[in-house]
Amino acid sequence: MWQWTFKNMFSTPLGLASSIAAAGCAFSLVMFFEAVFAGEAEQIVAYVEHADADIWVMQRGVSNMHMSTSYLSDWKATQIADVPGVASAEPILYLNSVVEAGGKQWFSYVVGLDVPGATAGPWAMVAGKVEPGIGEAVVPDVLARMSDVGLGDKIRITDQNFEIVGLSDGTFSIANPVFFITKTDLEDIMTSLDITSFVLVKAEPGVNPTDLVDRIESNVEKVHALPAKQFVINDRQMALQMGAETIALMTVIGGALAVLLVAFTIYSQITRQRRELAIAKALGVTNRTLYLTVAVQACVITLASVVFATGFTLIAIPLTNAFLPQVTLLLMPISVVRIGLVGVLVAVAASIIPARQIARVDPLSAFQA
Amino acid sequence: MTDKNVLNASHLVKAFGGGRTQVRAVDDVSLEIGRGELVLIMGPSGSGKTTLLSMIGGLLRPTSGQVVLDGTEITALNESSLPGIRARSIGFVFQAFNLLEALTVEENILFPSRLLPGGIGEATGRAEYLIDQLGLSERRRSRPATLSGGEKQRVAIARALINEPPLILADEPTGNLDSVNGQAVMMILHDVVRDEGRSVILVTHDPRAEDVADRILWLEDGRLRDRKNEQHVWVRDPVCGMRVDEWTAEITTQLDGQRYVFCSQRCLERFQASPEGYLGNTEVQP
Repeated sequence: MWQWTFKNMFSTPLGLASSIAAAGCAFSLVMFFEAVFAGEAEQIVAYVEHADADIWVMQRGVSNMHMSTSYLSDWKATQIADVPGVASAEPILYLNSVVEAGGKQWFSYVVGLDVPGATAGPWAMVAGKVEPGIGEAVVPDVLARMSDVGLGDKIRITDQNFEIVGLSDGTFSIANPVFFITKTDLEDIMTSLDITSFVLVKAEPGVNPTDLVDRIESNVEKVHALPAKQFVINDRQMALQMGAETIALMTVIGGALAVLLVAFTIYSQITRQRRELAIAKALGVTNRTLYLTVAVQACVITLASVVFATGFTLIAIPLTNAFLPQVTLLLMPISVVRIGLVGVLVAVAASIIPARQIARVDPLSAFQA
Repeated sequence: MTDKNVLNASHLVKAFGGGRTQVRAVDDVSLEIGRGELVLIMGPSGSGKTTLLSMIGGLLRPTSGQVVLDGTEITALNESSLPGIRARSIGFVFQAFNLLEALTVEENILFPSRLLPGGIGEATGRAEYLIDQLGLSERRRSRPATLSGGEKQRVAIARALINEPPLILADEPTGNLDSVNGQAVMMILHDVVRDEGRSVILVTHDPRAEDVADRILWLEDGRLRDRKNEQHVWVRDPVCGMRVDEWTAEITTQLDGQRYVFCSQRCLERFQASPEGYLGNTEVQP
């Protein structure tokens, strides 16, 4: 039975390959879209992930950085630094703002660094200084190239101009490129003095960050402290959550497209082999067995499509990253698993119509000459 | 039902439609087939032969009546049980051969054995035997598309025999074959009965089948009658002069109150074009 099923399936290899490729393209579309969101989410959390801190301290009620606002008085940074077990406490000021560079506008993270001696600045440089001075900015290298600006050129943050003194690496994302200026300049832009958004805490050697979190929260009033790992997780979740509905919609569209393609393939195969199905029924093959063969065919085509999509996406992602540096694509294993699960649903859904078609095949038609 | 019978069909009726337009394709047919018996069912087109065969084969539910096959009343079984009965107890041979195109000769022959619980294990040896017996050794790896009509029908017969069913139902098995291959198929079916003790119901128009039949039944207008002891009424086709059995002839016409029978539609058309040239050419020596 299975021999017959598979030989029939492969009797038109070109048609089968086309169907697998077509359904695979539908899955690829979804995977690619997820890769865009995952890549973007990774870039959004790149700063908090690379910041050299064991603990992040922020305003009470805040638990991540992306799209959030946190204000603490500067003296709280001093209080935090005095908590036993804290090796260092570095304040940063943070603002979501539009930055104009080379005539283009970018919605950005602007991080105000406590200079000199800041460690919360860019973690990798392409050119220039890592630490900006007053009236200076370190900008993402990718953004600088896209905006056609370089070292010595000016950018504008709200109403103030800054000279580019450094080009950082890994700090660009479409949603949030990260600019670094001094905390003093950012306070000036925000017309607020002696404020801090986050305090990046390093624990003394041998001190457990979780214990230190509790100690900070009990020693300093109205602050929320989180271990860096948890802070990164929260930020990533926030970033992904923004694209979750779009991804779900794309998954439904891609899945529906795949259902149509797989179902059509099997449907046309059954239509072509209607007489043989009648013969098989006359010889004693049960409807249940034929349904099973349809389901298996749908599963094989869908599985092959998912494999095709995964392979295609794995090849397309590095190519895209190479030619479009502003786009960061990341294929997460969970995306492949999710598409695989969608594939199971696709296979089941794609079997329903052909199964009904099989039920209507009359074994008596085998007697027709 | 006695042990000597493989099939006992009683008072089978198959009606299509209802009310005034109702057609009784099979009308109160009763039939017993003994073990090791080759029974020929003949009759004009549309007489209900295939309908009867379908009911016996569990492919069509009778409107009323009973079919007992090898001790099992198949008309009392539910739909889901019938495929198993067909796979185990009936071998089908069709006019159009009905081989599965994607499979080789050997795979086609083994196909029904995969439908039984034991799978193809024991059937492999039997397939070897049948392939050898039916002269298909050289063609075992061939696809149906590359076979001649005679070879295809031999494969179909081997497929029908693979599960060793007690009953073979053959519907016009020589209908698509030339005379040599038709004769060969007829002899194979005859051997199936003689050597393997299986029963065969053969539906055909082919008069050569009469030579191998134990019993000949005539089905007309849905009703069956025994024709074993009736003599042939041989007459000549007035156009080509071929000998035709007036009993079974289907191509006929009436002219001046006399009935003329023909071997083919072409002869009938030529006759109808100018009957005067052919009148009087129907006498046959006994």
